[in-house]
Amino acid sequence: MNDSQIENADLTKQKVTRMTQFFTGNAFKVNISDTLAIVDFDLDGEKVNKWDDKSLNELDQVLSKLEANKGSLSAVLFRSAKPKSFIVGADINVIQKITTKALAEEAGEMGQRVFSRVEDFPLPTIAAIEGPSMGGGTEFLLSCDYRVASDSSKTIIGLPEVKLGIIPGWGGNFRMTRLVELPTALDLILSGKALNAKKALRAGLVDEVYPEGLFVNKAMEYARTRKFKRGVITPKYSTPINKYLSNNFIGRSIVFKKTRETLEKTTRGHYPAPVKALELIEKSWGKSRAEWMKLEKEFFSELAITEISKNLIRIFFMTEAVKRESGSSLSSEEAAKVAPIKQMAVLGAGVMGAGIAYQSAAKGLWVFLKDVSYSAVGKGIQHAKKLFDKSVSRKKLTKIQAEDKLRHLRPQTDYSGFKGLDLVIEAIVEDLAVKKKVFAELESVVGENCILASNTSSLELSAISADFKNKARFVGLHFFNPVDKMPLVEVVVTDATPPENTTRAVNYVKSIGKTPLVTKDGPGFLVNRLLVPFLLEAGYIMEEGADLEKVDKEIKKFGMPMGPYELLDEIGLDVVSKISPIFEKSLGERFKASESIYKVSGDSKQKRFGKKTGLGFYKWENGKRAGIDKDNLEALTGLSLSGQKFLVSGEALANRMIYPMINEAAVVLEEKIVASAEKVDLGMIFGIGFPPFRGGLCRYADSIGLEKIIKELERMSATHGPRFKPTEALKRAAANGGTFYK
Amino acid sequence: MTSNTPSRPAYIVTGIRTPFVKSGTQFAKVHAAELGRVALSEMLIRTGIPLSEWGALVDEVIIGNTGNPADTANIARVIALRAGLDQRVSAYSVHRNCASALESISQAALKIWYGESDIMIAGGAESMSGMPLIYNNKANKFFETMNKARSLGDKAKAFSHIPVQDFLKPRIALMEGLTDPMCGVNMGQTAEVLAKEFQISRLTQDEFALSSHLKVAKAQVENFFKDEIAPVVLPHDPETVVENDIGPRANQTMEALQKLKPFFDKKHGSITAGNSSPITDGAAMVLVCSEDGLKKLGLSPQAMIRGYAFAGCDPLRMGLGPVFSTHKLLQKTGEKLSDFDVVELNEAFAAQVLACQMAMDSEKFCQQHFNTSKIGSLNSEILNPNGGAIALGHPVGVTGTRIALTATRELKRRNKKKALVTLCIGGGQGGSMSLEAV
Repeated sequence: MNDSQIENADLTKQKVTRMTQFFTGNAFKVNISDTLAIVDFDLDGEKVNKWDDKSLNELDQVLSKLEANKGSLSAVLFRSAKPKSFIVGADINVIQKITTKALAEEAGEMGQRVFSRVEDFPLPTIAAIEGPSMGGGTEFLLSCDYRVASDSSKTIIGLPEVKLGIIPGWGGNFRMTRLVELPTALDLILSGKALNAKKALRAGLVDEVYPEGLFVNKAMEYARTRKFKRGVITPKYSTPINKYLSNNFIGRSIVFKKTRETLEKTTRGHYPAPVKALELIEKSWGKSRAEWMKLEKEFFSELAITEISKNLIRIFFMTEAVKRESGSSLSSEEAAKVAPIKQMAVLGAGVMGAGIAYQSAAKGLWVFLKDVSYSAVGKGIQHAKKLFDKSVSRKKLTKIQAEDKLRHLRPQTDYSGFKGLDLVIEAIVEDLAVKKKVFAELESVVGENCILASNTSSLELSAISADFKNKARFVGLHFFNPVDKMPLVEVVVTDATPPENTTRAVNYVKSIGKTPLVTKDGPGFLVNRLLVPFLLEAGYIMEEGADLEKVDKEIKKFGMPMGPYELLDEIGLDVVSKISPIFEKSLGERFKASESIYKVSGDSKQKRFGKKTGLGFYKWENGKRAGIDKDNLEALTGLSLSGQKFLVSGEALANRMIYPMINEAAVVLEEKIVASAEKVDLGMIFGIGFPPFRGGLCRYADSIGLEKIIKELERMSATHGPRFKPTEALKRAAANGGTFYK
Repeated sequence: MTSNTPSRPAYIVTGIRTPFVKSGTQFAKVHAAELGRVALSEMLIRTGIPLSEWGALVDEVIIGNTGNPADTANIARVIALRAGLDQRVSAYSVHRNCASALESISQAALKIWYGESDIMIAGGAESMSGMPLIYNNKANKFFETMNKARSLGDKAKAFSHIPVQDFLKPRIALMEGLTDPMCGVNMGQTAEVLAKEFQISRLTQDEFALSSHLKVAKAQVENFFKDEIAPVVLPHDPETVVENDIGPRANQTMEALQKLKPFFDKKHGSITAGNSSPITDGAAMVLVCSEDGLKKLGLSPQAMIRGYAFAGCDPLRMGLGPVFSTHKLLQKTGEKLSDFDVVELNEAFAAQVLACQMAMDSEKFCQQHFNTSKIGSLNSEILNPNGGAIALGHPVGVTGTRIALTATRELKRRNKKKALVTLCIGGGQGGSMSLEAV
């Protein structure tokens, strides 16, 4: 209710001044009030303002017209006419279409020139910011003389270019490093982090912050009454140390060196954009604007045409699309009308159940957490409390908010109140008989509109729902561990699932801040089905005497967040050795696990299940890896793990682990487990962290070429065994255009 | 109201309470509002009607509370919002000392009788552990001077007179709340007055106390309380979930009770911690509806509220309150004491309950006070059949709801018709309510 959204809000008490229309275009409307020129950005036919050729040109035009009248004007105020949204940046579609360096330079030059013109404008310029200002929007406000912001929670100011594999290209590097102290500027440019109004004020990025309800008037008053002094801009320093680090040659060298080291660690050589941005800032420091602009243009153009940037932009579009999709045949209007999930239950207060309950309560749902005893439920609520406490210590939540969210978790051991539920998610033991019994109970206690979901990862839905009275209400909601961190949830549907229920489940996943991926029922759904071949291959590689830690490192170099042995330990060797035979049974010998996996997981001396038992391929201490348990593994398996016999590394090693996934992806696509290659990529990036810069599994396969992959699979099949045999599906995909993406 | 039955009946539909927990133990760090929140949201959820739908249904939430926690000025509002009721639902707190929660049910009933409301929530929430220590007057004076001191010198001067000894002598809100400001006597001492005037022996009191514990223990074995108790997760330590009442002792013995020293009159007294109700934390809620309300909710009623009465008496003999209010109630409803199949008379003190029994059955007492013949004999068989506050405890602002809920459930269990619910009220009052199973 803090938006002044009543029609008779008393804004008229302000002195009413006559506005004269001065200019009306497709993007800009300019009015003159006394001596103040008010430029409203209002891009025709769009919900948000963004920069493209036309809007930049029109701004140029507006500047010319204003300059011609500068004698009668005192200042220029730039605002957005879009409610609670400033400028979201350059049109990303335009960037995606830049294919040559020349085109990139042209795009860079145009923005650089217009924004420099804003900077050099003979009258004081003020940007009034309410709502998000991203990328090119922020580069624009940096070129104004003054900035005032609304304290609306929607106001955020950032330069997220690096997230799309590029750098600010319209003078943002030059102007940001000049306006705020160096460590802050680097943080903003290199990590793409955005600041809210309060933080922007503290950083000196904006000059004043006004309350949301008064913003329009206050911004006008500021532009009208403020005595403007234009001259050298010096950043506001938060501490003497930061002043030293920004101003002093040695201080700066330290900052640059430290930052470079951090970047090397975080980008692992895969993401050049932040590295380039840092190089730009370091090389241009102290130089003229023209020199900054020259190098910026060069670097921007280099980056904009890289495959990495194209991949990152594609992923950005993919995730934006998911936000809009209903996940079923329903239109977005119909999708908005399906009954929302407000009150739900989670059965099983273990790690997964508690994680799901936490995530749902954190987003304001009422969650019943049920287990066999209150002590089990209490542990689950404790898990949630710890996560809420963490949010409080990180200042993401206030104490009051955290307490309120925790109160949304209701403990229980019976089925009381289940009649009023919209959704029940089962997250109990992976045992078909137990699950069937529990769902039979559930069917008798819930209301008819309640969706029943299973968080199973290894059982097929059709098996669980065999005896259901109403199969239409049953879906899979496959969360990944740890639930609070992993962004993906597979929404698994069967032939009996009507579109309304698919969409209800999809809407629920979105409402708790996760990315839904609709998949069809089948062994391992999408993500596990593609991941299992990768995990199983690790067993065969071990049998060839590999140095396991080295293999993990190589796979991480490829860009995977974890190597296979570390991942096996995280997932649990008991789980993997339990599900592999199930997969093999339904999918054939390419899912046959190696003997060594069973030998390791079946260690008779101690529970060697991975991280959770403190011992797997690695020794684990306090949840951290403490080296490969080499001697014991060798004793268990009778293998030598010195790595002297296994010399495969780099791309060849990665191919051996990734190509089987690609082989399976072709089958999955033919079986229509997911709708498209894009969805496979979405699943692999958000489900297992497949390297985004490679664009996803299918995109990566396409970049190599399916024909080439088939040849390599055939070769490996001959050397290592028939599990590598190219699938017919892959052959058909190769014959049908040679790529997954059409 | 003089008519025998209200023309627009009000029904108790369902109810729930938290465990009653001896103060200073498991609930020591749990706020009264949190106890109330758990009871209310559990009651709503267990009906099977989603929380989100209640906002459009509930007319008002009335919560009894006597501790008035400083951080929740209108605790009913806090409880209602935290329980998941939406902003539009009105909520207010009531304070009638020991009968605050009976007052909340009475107001709910009255608003239904009058035709103003259809769906009401009445309850109580109390943390007697949470009652504060208050700086004494001299310490307060120091803070006042400090606040007024403007210059550094003034402040230094004020500081030089820190009344250390006064900080160490706080006023105890709980103790002051349990002391009658009219006669300057503690509640326990009013019970001593009755014990002496009615010549109730220590032995009789202790026997009564023992039977209270044993009746509670029996009810626990029979799982009688299970359906009325909602477990409470300690918000600061969720791994601790309190599922049962803490206070009743199944292994209570006469020997143990007899060993205790009189607490209020060490020399000639007979009131001990063992035959008094302990200081306790807890909350309880009931849903009160009109017939229209029942239709809207699709729920069936448990008991009709036939009438209620509150009456004053001598503050020094506040324990006799039930005699006065029951007399008034019976006059209003036209019922006789012998009509009731179950009576819940709150056990503030064993002596006080026994005194009420004697007074009701005394021609002399009733002639003197009411100018009528005696109210009648209160059969011990039907009095507090599942035990009472001596075992379960007496969270002051909650007990009224608990005994109304227990009486309703006991009527159902026994398949009987009428229940009388009554309690004595610190300050010299009594409250009574007549319920009829439907």
